[in-house]
Amino acid sequence: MIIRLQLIGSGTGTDPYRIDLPTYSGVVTNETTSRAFADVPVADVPADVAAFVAAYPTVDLTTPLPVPFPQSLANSWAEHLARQYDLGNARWHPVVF
Amino acid sequence: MRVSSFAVARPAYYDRNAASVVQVVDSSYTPHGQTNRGTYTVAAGKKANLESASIFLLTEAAPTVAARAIATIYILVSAVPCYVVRLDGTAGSTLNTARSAGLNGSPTIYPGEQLLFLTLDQSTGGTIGYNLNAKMTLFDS
Repeated sequence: MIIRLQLIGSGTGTDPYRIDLPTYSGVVTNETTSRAFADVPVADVPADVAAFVAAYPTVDLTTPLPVPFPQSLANSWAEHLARQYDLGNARWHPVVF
Repeated sequence: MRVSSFAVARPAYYDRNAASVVQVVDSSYTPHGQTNRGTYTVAAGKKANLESASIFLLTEAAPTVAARAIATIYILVSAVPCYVVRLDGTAGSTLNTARSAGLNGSPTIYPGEQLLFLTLDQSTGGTIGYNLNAKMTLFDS
């Protein structure tokens, strides 16, 4: 599913712009607003996060969300990814942005 | 005559709950900093054989000032990048000029390692069409 996420990194060789997720594709970025669209596997997105994305659709990489991404959902997503990949707790912290 | 049973061999990797994974980046971008356009992380209990990977670049709009442009597919192993396909040079100024590169070898990607697709264009103006793709077989370790 396509989600607008926070872009992290500085665009250098040691710190490229990226999404804080284990698996994604098709990234389109806006380096100025630090926002990016990415195609994320449905299995990597918990139901409560998917519901938030559906409730606040985004059409560009500039307009801020009407409400900030709740910390409870951020925690839920990080825990979901930790279970899904079993590679250590809280390795990824994606933020809908 | 007594016939003993054969020892049961472990199934080949492609018979261990195997599945194809395809990652594709296919888009046009104006100049930008180094950006990971896609990634795939191998989960615990799995491995992946990278069977195919290739890069195609096409100059779609000529830059005002051509500079370095990179497209690469690499595996991140303990934070060290191992490049499996790479195109690195000056962005072409001639429209519809294509460059391509393909995978050498067939590396295995282990749990926790990532396959990444990175692009960079330091030109002023212009647009490059990028197609980076990879096909791998994911299987139980």
